[in-house]
Amino acid sequence: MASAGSGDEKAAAAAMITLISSDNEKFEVTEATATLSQTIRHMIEDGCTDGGVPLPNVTSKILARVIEYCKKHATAAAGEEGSSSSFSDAAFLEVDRAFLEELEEFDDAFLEVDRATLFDLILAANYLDIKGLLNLTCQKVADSVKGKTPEQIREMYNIVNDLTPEEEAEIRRETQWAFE
Amino acid sequence: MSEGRHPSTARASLPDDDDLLGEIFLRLPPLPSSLPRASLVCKRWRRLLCDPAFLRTFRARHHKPPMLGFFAARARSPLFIPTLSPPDRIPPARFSLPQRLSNSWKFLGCRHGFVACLDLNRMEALVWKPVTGSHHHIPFPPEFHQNKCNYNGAVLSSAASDSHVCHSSAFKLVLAHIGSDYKSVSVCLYESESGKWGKIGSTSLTCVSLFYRPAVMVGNAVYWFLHFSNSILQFDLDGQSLAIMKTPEDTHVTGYSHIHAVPHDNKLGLAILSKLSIQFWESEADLDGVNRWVLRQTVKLHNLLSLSMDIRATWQTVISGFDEDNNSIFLSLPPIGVIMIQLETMQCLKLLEGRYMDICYPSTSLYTAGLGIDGGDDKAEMLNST
Repeated sequence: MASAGSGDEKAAAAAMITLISSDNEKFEVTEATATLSQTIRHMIEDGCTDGGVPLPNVTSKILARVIEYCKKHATAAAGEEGSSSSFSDAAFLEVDRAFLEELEEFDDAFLEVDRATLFDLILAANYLDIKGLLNLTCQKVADSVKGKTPEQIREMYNIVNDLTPEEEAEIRRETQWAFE
Repeated sequence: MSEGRHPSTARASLPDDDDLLGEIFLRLPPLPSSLPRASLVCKRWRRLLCDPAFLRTFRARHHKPPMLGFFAARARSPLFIPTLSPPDRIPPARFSLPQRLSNSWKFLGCRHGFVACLDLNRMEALVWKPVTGSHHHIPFPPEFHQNKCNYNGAVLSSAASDSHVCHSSAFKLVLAHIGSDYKSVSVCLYESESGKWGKIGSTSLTCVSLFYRPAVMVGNAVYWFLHFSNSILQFDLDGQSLAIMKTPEDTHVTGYSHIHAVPHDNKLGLAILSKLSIQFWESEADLDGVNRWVLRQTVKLHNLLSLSMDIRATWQTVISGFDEDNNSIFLSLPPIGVIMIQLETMQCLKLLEGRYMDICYPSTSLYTAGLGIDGGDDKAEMLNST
């Protein structure tokens, strides 16, 4: 582990990484932004990022959104680190709270996308192993089915009901109240 | 941009990946209707939601289950009163006792999804899990076959106190009895995994004592408030040892007062209702290990409730229960009814309008059963723990 604020780390934070989408678009990002993805972090650690990181499962449209998310969250993380040494505890807490509120607002706005984009973001967050983004997007889907009936969920997500009438009756019998 | 308006994008399909669907399902709210509804969407969803590994992770994620309602000890049998709104409102009959009790019984309360009751004619305990319907009869040890008064106890999941127990159908039952001279108390611990009672521990009481309110569990010990002697009985589950603690002396209670054990920060605490304010006390061990009480906070109910109604202290004004999972106390408060106060946020919720309830036994649980697999979560857990 490098000690905080060492010269090497500062140099590394400024280093740029090139990400290449499935449709061959190139994105230049800082290492701090890129390493929110555990997948890319491991590639950097293994020294296989020269000439860019090809991401054959992510389109440029989705990669641009993912980078937007990572930039914001990497900045927030860096801001918190920087502020901890220069503010008193109370001031730090205040700054901390402001950061969190700003991040929440960003996340809410970030999730204002159509379903197809949301699902692509889930796939990208999973492939790139970005825990925060995976949590955010999966929570959005989970929230969308809250209080919905099975019929409404099927309609919403284009799912075909392949349960036999017997199976359906069995579940309904045991938890009839949950469908009223 | 035609996105959003175009039917093909509006009806996009979820990722075709079991792991990702599992990630989404884990984030469903821990309310009773969540999993039954989702399991009725299609075969794939049902299979994933019934998977024992999924259910275990879901339970671990929602380690503080919601309160589904509470039991009230009525004259003939305990009654479940649901407190959630539809579709999460569980019908009282669904949580009713699995069998009729004799005419002499004592309700012990609920913990970790289990409910326990003593049948004092049959000299046996009844432990059941309303969510799965599984139930057990446990005859008292012979030493406890005494009169029909002064019994108390507590039920808890074995998984909660022993890290090696990995299935949630195992439980522990504590049985406590104050002798007919009211001067001694005996406690014994039953473990469902061995099917045996442990050794009986006894201690003498300094003055006449009674206990009728349910136990409170803090850390790995259960506590009962002893009436008349103003003391607290502690049973340590690890060492199976008993101890008596005095309650604070300088409480300055006046008029109708009422006391209830309430944990705070994983330490024993007390809530003392005096007229229309509640004192919250916390136990602290000094350097010599001697317990002392510290007054942490005094809350005036008028400030808390901001009610236009004229609340007044009467003999019916009592602390009628405590929800250990959600850190909330129940107050029976004429003429309002039964209210619940969440102790971190101090938010109040009216549970019963205009009704008085001496003791409420809150029941908290996740609803992971009834998804079309027999035995629900117990079976799922059993399959996985073998």
